[in-house]
Amino acid sequence: MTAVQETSAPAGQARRTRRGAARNNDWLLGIVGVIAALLIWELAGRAGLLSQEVIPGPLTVLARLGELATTPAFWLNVWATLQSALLGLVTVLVIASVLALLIGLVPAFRESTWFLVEFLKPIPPIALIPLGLLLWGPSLTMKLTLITFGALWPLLTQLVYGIRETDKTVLDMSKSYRLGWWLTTTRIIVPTLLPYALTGLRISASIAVVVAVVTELVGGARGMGQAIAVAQVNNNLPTLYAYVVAAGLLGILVNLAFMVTERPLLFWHPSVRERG
Amino acid sequence: MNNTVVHDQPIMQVVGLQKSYGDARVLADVTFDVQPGEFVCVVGPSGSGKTTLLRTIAGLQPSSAGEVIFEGERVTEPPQKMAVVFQDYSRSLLPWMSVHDNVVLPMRNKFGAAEREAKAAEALKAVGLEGKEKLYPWEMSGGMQQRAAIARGLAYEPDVLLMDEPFAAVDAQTRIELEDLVLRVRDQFDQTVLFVTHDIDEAVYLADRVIVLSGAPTTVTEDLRIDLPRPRHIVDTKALPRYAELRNHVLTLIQDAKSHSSLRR
Repeated sequence: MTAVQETSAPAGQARRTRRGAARNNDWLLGIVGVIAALLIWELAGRAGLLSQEVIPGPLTVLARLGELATTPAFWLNVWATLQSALLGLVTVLVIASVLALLIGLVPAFRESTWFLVEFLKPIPPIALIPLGLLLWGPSLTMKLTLITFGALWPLLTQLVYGIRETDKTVLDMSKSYRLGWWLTTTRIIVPTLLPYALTGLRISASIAVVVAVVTELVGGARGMGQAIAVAQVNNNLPTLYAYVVAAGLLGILVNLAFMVTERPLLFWHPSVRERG
Repeated sequence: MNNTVVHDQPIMQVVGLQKSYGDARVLADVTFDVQPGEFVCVVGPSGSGKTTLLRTIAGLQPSSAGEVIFEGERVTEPPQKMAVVFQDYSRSLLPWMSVHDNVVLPMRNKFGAAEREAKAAEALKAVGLEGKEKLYPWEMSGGMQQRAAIARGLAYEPDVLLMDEPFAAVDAQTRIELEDLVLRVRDQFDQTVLFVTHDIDEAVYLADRVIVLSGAPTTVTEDLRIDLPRPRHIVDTKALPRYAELRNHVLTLIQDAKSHSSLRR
């Protein structure tokens, strides 16, 4: 990225600063939005619009979250959820890569699987929890299977799309210079698919976190979802909502982690270049 | 330049080349040859299968009949001693690599590391991109990108450099610059060039010989020697009466080809 800075004329610099300012503005507006939502929540509680017995105010919930964050049990729950989501994501990456290559490069495979894929895609993984419980009980295997099933499709779809969109001119160039399969794969195919893969992975990661929490909540596997279920049974509402907020934050963090990785990897891609 | 010598063994022979896509006959019968050191331009009306012809010569697609002989061997896949400069530089250069890395990449299977660096530096200097090695293609103008693509082709040290309408996408000023650049590096590297274009002026200005194609189904209408003095000069050469004569001759051939093929359609 040093090269970019070297060539940026003063005009470019000004544009960059303005873009930077716009980005700061976005952050500011985001924070304002969050604070406004919390305020409305608090005020609605105090005005009696929201029953404190059903939804405690945000101050109570956040205070409880602060307390929980000092206990090892909380972090073990977070780790259980995160770990299964990440393991699921790795499984998704392997399966989606193999399937995408087959679908993208073998027409017979594409023709014979598209109906199956389109049939499986809209099935919510939650609908498969009873089956998963029956087969594996409230275990990590059950969680991983359902996470994999739920999070597979966005990455698979993106990869197939990426393979289909690979530029013919680039492939001609690669053939005419006899780059061979290794250079073609590492220097051309992988960088070409990377933007698609990262977008797909980011969406799949969000889904993986959601499905992880749901399988814990409904299926009773260990993790944040289970903590929510336990708090509900004990009528411990502040703890319940503290975990709900924590699950939301985890989702945001996972998303952020991908966006942070994307920028240096895709510095050359128009979507990142134009963000400045 | 030995462009007046015709007794040489041709470096490349295109013999009775035919290509059809289903029922559509694109190339009916294309035959010509290229001598070592020659600058040959192939010019034809749009839709005369110029790109098909070039891709077949480059070994990127098979012909329906006929053959391309390159250095005594039949072309069935891209030969190691051939390089292509594509029309669409914005796509043929890899945006995730700097200009330097783009130029070096094809040499990885061909030369050692030190040799690669030396050849890349020489080629980049020859096209006037010295000091721009670290830039990425998208940080440069179209003209500079096509220079980088030309440098990549030169550094690969092909025995024949194929160019597929390389200046079709740049503005007129840049085009004039790049035409002179190609003539200069061609002399510097003693490079045999097969240059495909639809631009008659460009073909006559650059070439030792112009192969004029008919409209599809395509045959060679004329194999025309361009006896203009070298070095060529953008103002002086184009002011010569002989230049106007040759240019008008090719223009007439192309116009005839166009009306012929439209009559046939």
